Amino acid sequence: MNWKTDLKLADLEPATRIEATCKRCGMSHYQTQAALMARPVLAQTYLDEVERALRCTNRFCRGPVRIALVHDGKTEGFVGGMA
Amino acid sequence: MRRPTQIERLYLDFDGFFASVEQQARPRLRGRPVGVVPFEGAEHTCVIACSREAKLRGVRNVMSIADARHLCPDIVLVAQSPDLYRRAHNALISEITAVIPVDAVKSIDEMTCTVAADDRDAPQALGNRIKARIADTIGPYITCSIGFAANRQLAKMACKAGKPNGNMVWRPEDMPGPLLTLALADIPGIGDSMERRLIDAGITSMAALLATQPKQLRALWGNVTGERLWYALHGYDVQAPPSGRGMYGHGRVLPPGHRSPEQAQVASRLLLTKAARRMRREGWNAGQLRLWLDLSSAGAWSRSRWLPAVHDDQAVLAGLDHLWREALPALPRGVRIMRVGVTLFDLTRASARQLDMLVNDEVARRRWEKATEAVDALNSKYGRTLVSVGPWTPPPGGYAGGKISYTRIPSAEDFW
Repeated sequence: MNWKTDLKLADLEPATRIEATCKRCGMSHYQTQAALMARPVLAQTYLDEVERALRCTNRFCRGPVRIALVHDGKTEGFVGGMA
Repeated sequence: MRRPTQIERLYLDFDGFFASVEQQARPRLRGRPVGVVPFEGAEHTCVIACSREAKLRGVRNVMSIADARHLCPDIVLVAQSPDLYRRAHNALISEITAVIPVDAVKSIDEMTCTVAADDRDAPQALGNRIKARIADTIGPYITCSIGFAANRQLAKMACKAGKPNGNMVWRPEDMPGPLLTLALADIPGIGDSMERRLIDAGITSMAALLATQPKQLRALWGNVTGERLWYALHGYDVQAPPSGRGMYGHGRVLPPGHRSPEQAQVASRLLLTKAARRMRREGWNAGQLRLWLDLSSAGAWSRSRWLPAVHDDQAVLAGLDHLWREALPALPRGVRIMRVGVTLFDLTRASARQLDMLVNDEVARRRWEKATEAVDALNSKYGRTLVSVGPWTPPPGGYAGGKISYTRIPSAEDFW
């Protein structure tokens, strides 16, 4: 059990970027939720199923990938040292 | 301003993040004193992070390697792995989000959340759920300290007071009791110079600071931060205002064998290309470019150059070439450049480019922007820098452009 088994692809915002890193060659690529939802087989899946469905985009590798959500929009600085 | 009567905020800070991620990822390091250093074989720099075992032996973060070795001769030094820390950060945020929504990520190892009404009576149980989730899904070697209080600032201080592996609750009705045991320097936002200023004003203890008036702290700080801090320490619902993006830049300490001006120029091209990529991804144009050079004992050199609100590689690199043409004759003969940095600033939205009537560059710009888009698409498709404008020579040590700072957690693209 982990966050990927708890969360459905459809629950994410369409602009959410999903990073897929190849477990074999280390190459990373990005997909948006909207692009993945356009694949009918993924529309009702949980993220662990999405992870299993994706493959490395390097055509000489095609290895399994590890997915991660990109949380860029949540970063906030300290202002005058205040949290 | 509202003064909460219940716990409303949670602040979470991972304990010795870089070192504990190394221990989680590499079993041979578990239970041993570990120091993370900037690069392999580094001897004349400092330990940027250390494990709990090393801290128990007196080693501290940002301690010289020589001092760390003196205190702890069997310390295991490992080169930093920014990509590993970045991936751990993403996984940890996702796991924490499965327990409670994260309001803001304050740095690679700190985040803050709003405590839901149902959890306000028993916040420690929420803290235990988060810790159990991390231990079950990520691993037991990455631990965190959690602080609960009426606002973010107090929650952060509670979190620090409970370190390591704490679960500290500062209820509004118990305040200011827990604060009175702390020194002025324990307050985030009070550094050495501010502490001296407070002491000069006769404020030498936490009790004396709490007895001041908001406007008095505003005057001492010289800006609104002092007043905000007063309200935060007194339990009001106040926090740092959102800050906007002001610049994109990268800096790099050059390895000893790569400190000639020509080598620094090559490194600066790569750093600028990476900064421009980030700027494009987030939809900005730059109106100015700065090049700065740390010449060690010979001082420093820096100069800025105006740019016609651009984001394509050709335009920013042409600006950099101009700056280097100014720099090279101005540098002392035989100078060694310790550190080089580039900054793109004076940002405007790329979707609303203001044309300059003295620079008729719109047609050329659009062509270069299309070319840059194509370059970015190819690099994105192949997951590495396959195409670049001009030479692409990564400096020794790797991770150029992948530096982790407080407000920036690099993405995989930053390592390409």
